[in-house]
Formats: sequence, structure tokens, C-alpha cells
Amino acid sequence: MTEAVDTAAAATSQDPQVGLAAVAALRRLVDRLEALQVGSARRQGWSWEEIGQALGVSRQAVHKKHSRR
Amino acid sequence: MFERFTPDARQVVVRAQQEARNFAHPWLGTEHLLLGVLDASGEPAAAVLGDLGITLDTARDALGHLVGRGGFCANDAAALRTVGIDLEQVRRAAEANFGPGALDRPVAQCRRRASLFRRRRVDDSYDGLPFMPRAKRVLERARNEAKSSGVGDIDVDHLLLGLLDPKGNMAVELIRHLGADPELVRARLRARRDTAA
Repeated sequence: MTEAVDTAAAATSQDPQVGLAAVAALRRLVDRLEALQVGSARRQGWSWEEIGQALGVSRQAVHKKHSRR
Repeated sequence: MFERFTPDARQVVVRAQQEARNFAHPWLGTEHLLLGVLDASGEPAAAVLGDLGITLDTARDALGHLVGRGGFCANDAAALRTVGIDLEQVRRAAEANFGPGALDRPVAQCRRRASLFRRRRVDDSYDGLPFMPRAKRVLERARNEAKSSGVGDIDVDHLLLGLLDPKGNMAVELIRHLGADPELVRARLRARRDTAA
């Protein structure tokens, strides 16, 4: 079986093991990308308020999560 | 936090920090402590592990396989493919804009439970990566090992005995992954200490 077929099969899998692993990996990826973008925004002088607005969360939430970096 | 540690045992923690940073892991776990122990060549602990085929190199490889770099897990690339995302492509795009290793940079630990009453730090002498709960447990177990062996100071062997937690941890996983039995490691280390004593 080719890899493409394997992947397609996995993507439509109803196996929670497969689906949940994908969700967990997505979350890790999002965390990483968010850290990258927030760091970049801060370096470019964006306020926590502006970053929060762009992310659709409160200024406090984004500050709490990223200010310790 | 480490006042009862021998200089060599302190070095294990220092090296563990370094290993964690090299993997771009924002935490200090039992897996890194194991690498720290393995780096203490010449110590009985490292020798016992070496006899069973567990060296700094094999353990690093195993950690790369089981956990991966920078907070991604070994299977994340495959898991993301199932939803149509090519992690390598994302990595390349991130690095094109933000430089090499952009995606591997430590993320602030966001999993810490929110608390209105932030726990006061009792010990300010430690400013390294945060110890994971199981790694803290290892320190506690090492402390108990030292106590029950009659010497007050925690040495490298005590740290390894502490790592061999029957409740399981990443270090134990690594040892198993490399084909060794944690119980055998414990038995051999104890035997070695007894003959040396």
C-alpha cells in the first residue's frame, strides 16, 4: 500500500487513538506558532492589547501566557 | 534545593539542564536527569548502565525518538499528516521567516495551573528549567536512598536509584526502550555498592 493511501485512511479513521494524537500534535504546533508570532509582534512593538485582539483573547490572557518568556 | 548533593550529583543536574536545552525542551524531566547520570562517566551508575548497553549516545538517540525535539513528540509529524499538515513544510516556512530552529524554541509553559494565589517560591537558589513532578519525585527518592544508606549526602548512584521509580517515568521508559530491565539496573547498582562498601 502506498503512503498516500495509508494517510488518507488514517485521516478518515474513526480510531480515537489516531484522531486524538492528531489533535494533540496540532495543539503543540499551534502553541509553537503562537509563541513565535507573539514574540515577533512584541519585538515589533505591538502592545499586549493589540496582540490579544488579533488572537481573539483578552490582553490579560495573552500577557499571562507569554510575558515570562 | 541541592545542598545535600555531592559535587558530582550537582553536576548531574547541571548536565541534565544542558541536555534539556540541547533538545529545546522547556522542562527538566527524569529523561534529562538520566542523561546527566550517563554523562558522569567513571561513576558506578554510568558503568552499570553502560554494561547494559545504555550510553549517553544511545540514550540521546532514544530520547530523540521517543520525545523528539522542541516539545514535538516523535509521532507528531505522522499525526499532523493525518489532518493534511506537513510539519516539515511548516518548519521550513517558520525558519525562512524567523531563522533556524524557530519552531524548536522553548514555549512558555502554559500548562501551569492558573492560580489566584501564586505559590511563593521557597527556594530562590535554583534558576534553571522547571522540574517536572516526576523529576521532583526522583530527587525525593534519591534523598531517601541516601538517608537509608546511612550517608547523608546524595550522590550520583542515589540519583540513579531515585530514577528507577516503580511508578514509572520517562527515564524508566528510556531504559526499557533500550532493552534493559530497570530492576536489573537497580540490582546491579546495589550489588556494586555493597561490594564497594
